[in-house]
Amino acid sequence: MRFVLLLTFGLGYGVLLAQTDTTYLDAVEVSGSWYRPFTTGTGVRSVQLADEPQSLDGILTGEPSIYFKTYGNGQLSSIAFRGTTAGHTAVLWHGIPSNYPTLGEMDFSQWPGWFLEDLAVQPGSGGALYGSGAIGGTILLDTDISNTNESSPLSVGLELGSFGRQFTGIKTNYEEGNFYASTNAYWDRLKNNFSFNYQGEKHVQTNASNSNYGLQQKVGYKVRSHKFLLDGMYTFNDREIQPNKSSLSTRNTIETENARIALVHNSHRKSECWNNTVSYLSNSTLFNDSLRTTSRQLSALSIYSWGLSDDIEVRAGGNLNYFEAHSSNYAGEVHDVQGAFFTSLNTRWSTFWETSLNLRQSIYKGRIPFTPSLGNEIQLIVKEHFQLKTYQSASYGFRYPTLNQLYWRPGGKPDLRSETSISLDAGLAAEWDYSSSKLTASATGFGIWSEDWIYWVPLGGISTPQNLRDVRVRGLESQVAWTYKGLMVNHRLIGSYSLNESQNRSGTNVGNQLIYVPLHSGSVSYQLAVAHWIFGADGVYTGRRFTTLNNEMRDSVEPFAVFNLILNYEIELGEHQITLGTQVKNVLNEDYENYNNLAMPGRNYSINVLFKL
Amino acid sequence: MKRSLNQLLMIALAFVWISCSEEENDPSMPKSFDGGVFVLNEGNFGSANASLSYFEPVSKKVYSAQYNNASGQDLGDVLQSGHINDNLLFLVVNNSNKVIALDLDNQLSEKYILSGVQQPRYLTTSGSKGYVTETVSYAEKGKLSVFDLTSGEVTNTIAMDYQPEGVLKNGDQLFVSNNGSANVFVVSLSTEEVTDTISVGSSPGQMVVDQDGDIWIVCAGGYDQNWDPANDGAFYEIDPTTLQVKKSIELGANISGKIAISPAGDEIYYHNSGSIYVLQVDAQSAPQTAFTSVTSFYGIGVSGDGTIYVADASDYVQNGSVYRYETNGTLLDEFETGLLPGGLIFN
Repeated sequence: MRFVLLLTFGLGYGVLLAQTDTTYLDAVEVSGSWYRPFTTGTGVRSVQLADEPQSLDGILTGEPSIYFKTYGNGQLSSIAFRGTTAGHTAVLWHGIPSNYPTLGEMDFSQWPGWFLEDLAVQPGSGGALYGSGAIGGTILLDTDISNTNESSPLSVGLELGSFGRQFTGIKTNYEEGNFYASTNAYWDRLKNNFSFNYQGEKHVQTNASNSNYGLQQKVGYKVRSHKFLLDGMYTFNDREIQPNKSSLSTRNTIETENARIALVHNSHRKSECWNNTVSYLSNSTLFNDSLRTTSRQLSALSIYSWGLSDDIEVRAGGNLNYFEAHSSNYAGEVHDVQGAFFTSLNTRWSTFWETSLNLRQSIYKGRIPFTPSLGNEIQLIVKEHFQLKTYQSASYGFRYPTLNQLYWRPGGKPDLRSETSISLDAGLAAEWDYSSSKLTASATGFGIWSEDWIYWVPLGGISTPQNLRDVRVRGLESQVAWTYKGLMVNHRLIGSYSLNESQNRSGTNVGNQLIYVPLHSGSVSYQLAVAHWIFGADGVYTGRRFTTLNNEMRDSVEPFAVFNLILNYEIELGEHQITLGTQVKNVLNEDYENYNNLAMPGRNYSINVLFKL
Repeated sequence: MKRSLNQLLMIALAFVWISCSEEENDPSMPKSFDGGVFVLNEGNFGSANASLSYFEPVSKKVYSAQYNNASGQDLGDVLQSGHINDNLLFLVVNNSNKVIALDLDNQLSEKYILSGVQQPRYLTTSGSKGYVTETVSYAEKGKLSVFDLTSGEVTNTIAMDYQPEGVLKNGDQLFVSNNGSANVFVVSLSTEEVTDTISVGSSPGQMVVDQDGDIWIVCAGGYDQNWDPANDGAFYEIDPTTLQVKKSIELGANISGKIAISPAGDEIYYHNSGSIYVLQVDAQSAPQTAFTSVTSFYGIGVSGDGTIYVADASDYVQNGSVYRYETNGTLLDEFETGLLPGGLIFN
């Protein structure tokens, strides 16, 4: 019975180590997740986590509207929402912008899922409320500070896989009265010596190993209506940069260190809520043991919420982000400051109609971009077994130039303009509920009109960034999910399809698809739970991606479909739990590439154990 | 429930079908490569998508992806430079650590591959031997490999300074510009040893021979400790007999390390901040007026009839262009190349 309940809420202890298994929750505001902007429609979509032994890119692969450009197996992985690029995705940790300020993006392969408790994705520009970058979408990490209650005192996860994969993760939790603490650590290695075919010959990948470890400490304290959380994490990633198929003997290395500390305060009294975060983030990369780039960030965020009535909620807040970076390619240390004030209004006009308005006033280098967004949601049909709603939103988005684009020597241009966007979307979501079965379906159409995208262009021996390109994206996100909850058997089937027509609208090749944006992509996953067993199968389809704006077939990466199988067995030993799992990845041995000419492994295997005290 | 599953399957099939229903073009190859121009398309670093285009000036026809068409294989990562010797076309593929020798008389069939080279840059030939500069790595000194033109066997390796770049044969000597060391090594072809070192300006690049037999070296210019351009780009004219610097012309800017010389050997074409300039070899100072402007300069060459070819790499994510000019600066025409056209070789 307990198992059934867990599955009902999409948790499923049985899938604790199921690598490709991420489940979907309804878009509801979770208590404590105050950093989520007001949204309507499909809005913020939670992705449930379960002691993940994989990095963030692996967890999110297959999510509708997201595409990862991954530079090889276990390598740099950059996200793109809705046909935009990694730089157009905001990443918020405890509400704090966490993209590397030098690059303006995050390497998702370096954020360990083992350290995450709470993950949500928000397609569209709604996340622009908290800062730069959310033209395509926003990733929200650990927005909820109150969900450690269900954790075991000790969890240990182990995984062994093909190509020298070894993962060890440890979590401990301690709770005493108003105080709690958790200490997490992980260690992950991958030799990456898989074989692949290139130009009619079989090769073994070389110079592509990596080794990661990390430590996280959380300390929480509750006093009356106040909650405090101190969250600190350190990760170290030592990586050989996977060379392309034609340059296997090339060896380059990059070491990356990330340290993040956030002090979060939340107070909740009657209809008022106050949230504050102060944070320090640092990122350091060392290329080939010689070229080091470091960045540091100090951020503060404060939000106050009032429930004026049962139907009206108002929020107001502000944030301030200070960045500094040092590299031998900067003139000394470079700085940047970004700040904003924002206010939000959420109104429930009636039981079936809700509207949210977000207003954001940025302050940046004497310029004051104003980026409002408006969302609307109407329940069209509310019956006992069937519900249908429609939603619409309009939003402005923007992205400040990155420190590299501004200050890189030679070439950087301090006078670059911000990239800007207007997004519109509208959709329908339906839900049928018949006894043990539930079927949900949603489809969202969207358009993004964006200007001044920054590209590096050659200038006689050096490169320099320019506000060069206008882009129009039109697309569709759709998802169908069916769950069946029987007494002994549970089924869950989810299918999604995304269309992203992301067109260049300036210069030459107007109307052509942007590089590395698949026009079509989709995913399917099925899970069967019987007694202590869980069987899962999932697949991801990624359409053709052009590598040049000319959109020639010769310069494109072939479409691929990759399928995985999972089998888990859960053993209950009194209060303890042991989950044994095995997984076959790329079952059909698809010969595919994510990035042009960077090899990806064929069929591969892993076994894992999760022990929870 | 069944119905929704069927719909899902249909959606899945629909997008598989759409993405597979396009057909690929197969551009042909010319009957002969005589009298034409090879454009070396460097490709994006790390993507192994270099390509070789061929332009016929008479028919104005462009043939793309010639290596891929001839061999059915990818050319490799970063096509840095090329060289023609009799019927052999050499392609220096920098980040694939190889030099490919192709037969011009036999539809670019492969003669051999030098695969032991380390970050090769430029190549020249003399008699029965070939010479290729190799960076090896940025942290250590480079080298010059000597190989047999018939067999492709490396017969000797000569130590160079940091980042050996251009290599020019003149008489019984080779001149090698060491880009990271602000000097030029003189190598004796007979002993295959470095006999002299000539100090020049920052970042010496390509070299050409003028009407008087003097050697001209472009020095692209360096950077100060803040990575600001030192604006010390310059030309150095060297007497090949005395190995003395006869003249240097300061340009007051950092410029491209790629240059070309007119067939008569009296005018040198170079790029400076978005414009092409023409330097008269008997001038004492840099020209003030530009020959023409170019948006994203990436390479330059001059054909035997004096036509100037300027390669433009656009924004790195789409095919480049080559603009052709008459000597008086009139734009003749333009043609499309592959990605990042960096070199031009005239057959």
